[in-house]
Amino acid sequence: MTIDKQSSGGAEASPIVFRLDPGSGMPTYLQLVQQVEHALRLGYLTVGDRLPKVKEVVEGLAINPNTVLKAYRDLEHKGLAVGRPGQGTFIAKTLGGQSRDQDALLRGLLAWMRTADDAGLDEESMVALFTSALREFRAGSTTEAAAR
Amino acid sequence: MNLTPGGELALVATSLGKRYGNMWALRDCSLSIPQGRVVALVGPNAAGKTTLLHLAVGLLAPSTGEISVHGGLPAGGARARECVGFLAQDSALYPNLSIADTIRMAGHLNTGFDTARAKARITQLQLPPAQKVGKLSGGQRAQLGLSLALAKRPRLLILDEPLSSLDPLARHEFMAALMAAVAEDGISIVFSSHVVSELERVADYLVLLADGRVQVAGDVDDLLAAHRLYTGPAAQADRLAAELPVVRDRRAEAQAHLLVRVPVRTEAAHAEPPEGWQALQVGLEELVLAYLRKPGASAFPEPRELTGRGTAA
Amino acid sequence: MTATTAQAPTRPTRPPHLAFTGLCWVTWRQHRTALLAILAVFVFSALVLVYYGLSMHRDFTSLKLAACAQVPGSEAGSVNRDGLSCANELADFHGDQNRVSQLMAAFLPLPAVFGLFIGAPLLAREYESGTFRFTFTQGAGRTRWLATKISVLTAFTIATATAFTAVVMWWYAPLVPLDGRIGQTGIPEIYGAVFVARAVFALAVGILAGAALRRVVPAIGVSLVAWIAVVVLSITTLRAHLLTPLTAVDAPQNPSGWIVSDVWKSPTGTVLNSSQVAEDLYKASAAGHKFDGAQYLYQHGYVHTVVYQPASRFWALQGIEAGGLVVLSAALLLAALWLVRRRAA
Repeated sequence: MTIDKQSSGGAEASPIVFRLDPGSGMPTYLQLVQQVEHALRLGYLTVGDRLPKVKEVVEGLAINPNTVLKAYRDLEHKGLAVGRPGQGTFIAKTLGGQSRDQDALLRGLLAWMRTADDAGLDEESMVALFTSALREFRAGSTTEAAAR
Repeated sequence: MNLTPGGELALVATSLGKRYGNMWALRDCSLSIPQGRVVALVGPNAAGKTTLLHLAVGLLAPSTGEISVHGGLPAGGARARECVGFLAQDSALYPNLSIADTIRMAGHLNTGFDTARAKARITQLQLPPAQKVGKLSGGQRAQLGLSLALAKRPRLLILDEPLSSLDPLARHEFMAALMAAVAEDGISIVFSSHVVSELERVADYLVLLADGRVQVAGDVDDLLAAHRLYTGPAAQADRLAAELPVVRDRRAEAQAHLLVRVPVRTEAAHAEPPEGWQALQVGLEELVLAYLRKPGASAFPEPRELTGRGTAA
Repeated sequence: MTATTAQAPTRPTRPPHLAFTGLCWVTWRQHRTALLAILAVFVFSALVLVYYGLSMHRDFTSLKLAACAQVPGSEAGSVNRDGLSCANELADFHGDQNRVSQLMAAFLPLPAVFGLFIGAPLLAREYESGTFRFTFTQGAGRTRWLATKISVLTAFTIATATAFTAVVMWWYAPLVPLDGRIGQTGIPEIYGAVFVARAVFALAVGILAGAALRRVVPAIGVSLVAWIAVVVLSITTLRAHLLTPLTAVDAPQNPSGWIVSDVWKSPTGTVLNSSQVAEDLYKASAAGHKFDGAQYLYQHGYVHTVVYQPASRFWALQGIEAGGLVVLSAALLLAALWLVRRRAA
């Protein structure tokens, strides 16, 4: 079995590697942004880590380099990353400090689940309902963003 | 990269046409493609894609109109040949030459050919230099052709259906190599394809040819921003269709899906769907198929304004 | 903006022009097989000539046929300087002479191979296999590529054909005084400038056929037909009139050289053939007295008109025919270049 290791130089190698979900319907650059945010949340990335080089990402995923640049710019705009000319893009800030909001969200979600359960929905129906609502939300939000 | 202002145009066609006897393979084709793009030229078979590409590299002379590349160089001229690389369908390499001899020949046929780079790529791809080109697989030949085209250090790379005879893995590897070259050198790419799926990952500019004419041409982001899928009650569909240009109209008894073109720079900041209608973003494949089904429709979106934040969308 | 892309790579400085030697290598590599095969054929043919030529030279010397060669006042080779008949020696030499005509016939078609195996496939194969889509879009461009190929291959053709015809000239040397170089012999086809010019013509017509037809097999076919047509035409019709032939009326003996036409006319003006003339002579000689046939015919108003090309004109005739073929070849090659530039893929 072969293991595909990102073959970038030594200590400067990026801790994460991107993947693409072609069936998700989400624009590619958003997937990359989300994967970085997810990695930050889970602790795979910390401040100072370098994001993968554009050329590496593109070689692995066969996507347009502009897409990667767009994702990195988005992260810069959100303040999560910063670009250093000639060296790459580095994480500037973590996503910590949101646990209070997350607790409230978690409680809200459990309350909704109880309501759904009372209404007779089983687990799978809840997941289906949540997924379709997520899609609608996503389409609505990107429509809004595009129209701005 | 595609937000760099100004710059030369990678390809300009003005009322370009090519006729064979009484038949027009390409007609009234006008394009203005900016630099630094990955351009997908799509359309059904015999739509004129190969004709357009052959005109762009000087293999054909136009019957009407003009075509120039990389900032106004006449297509096919000596200077254009130096900075435009071309990969023909099925690579068009000499089957009886070895890989090493083919590289040597390309070196003799071009000034400034980076033989070292070509050889390095061949080694990286693990192709034996003594192997005859005719014995290579389709994917290997395509990679060799790409290596030769890139070793020429072109500013514009034109590829005629590079993926059509490749298996899925070879397709992925070829595209990965191509995108890496874009990342490294910043070259412009124009490639033709009659397969529309999987374009969205790679292309940031789309040209749709149908029946020898340009039906759609524009940045993919602009195109997608300019279209919506409105879903709503079928009873109101006609009224909506009268207000907005409809590309595709699918109705059942109660429900209708209208793929419409919305004006981008409207006074109203958002292209809000009317009461009772839902709006969804359209994917590139769905958009292309819709236009292919409606030959009379065309779309040449204006570039969206850049917002202050620098990332439009 | 994040600068994650590498800096523009250092571009190798472009030399101001493409090396001619590079394009020569391209020509050699693409036609290697055909060039080597043709060289092999010509080397083999030259060796055949050398083999038979050595024995012919030896026989010529040992039979002392040099003494039998053109003695003025008599038919070539019939008597030697001492007035003795050479008939025996000539009979011994006859075997060598037979082989000469066989070899002449065998080597006459040789120049066509330059057209069939180099000229016709040159462009036809590019178009047929689609490789022109690679070659014509490289920096060198189609004109320089084709022009270089034409010059290299023409040089090869001229060199090979000239070397071979030099061997022919050595081989035929003993027969020059005996049979001459002009006349009923087939030697002009392989001896001298015409052989080389026909090779160049074959190459040119092949290249043009390839440019026009764009398919290998039809190009080869058309080249062969065109070459044969021109060769046949020049042998049968044209050669007689390249230089206005001389006319000898009532000459005491037939002039040496190539007899284009030999016409007897009777005193009344009707055209007679030689057997009728012989009959008249026989009838006249039956009258009995000492009879000088030629005197009789002359006195009685028989007119013998011989239209001929003298042997001294051999090189002039060769030069004119070769020159015409070269001019034609140049025109064909220019036409091929023009066709290729016309940009119809």
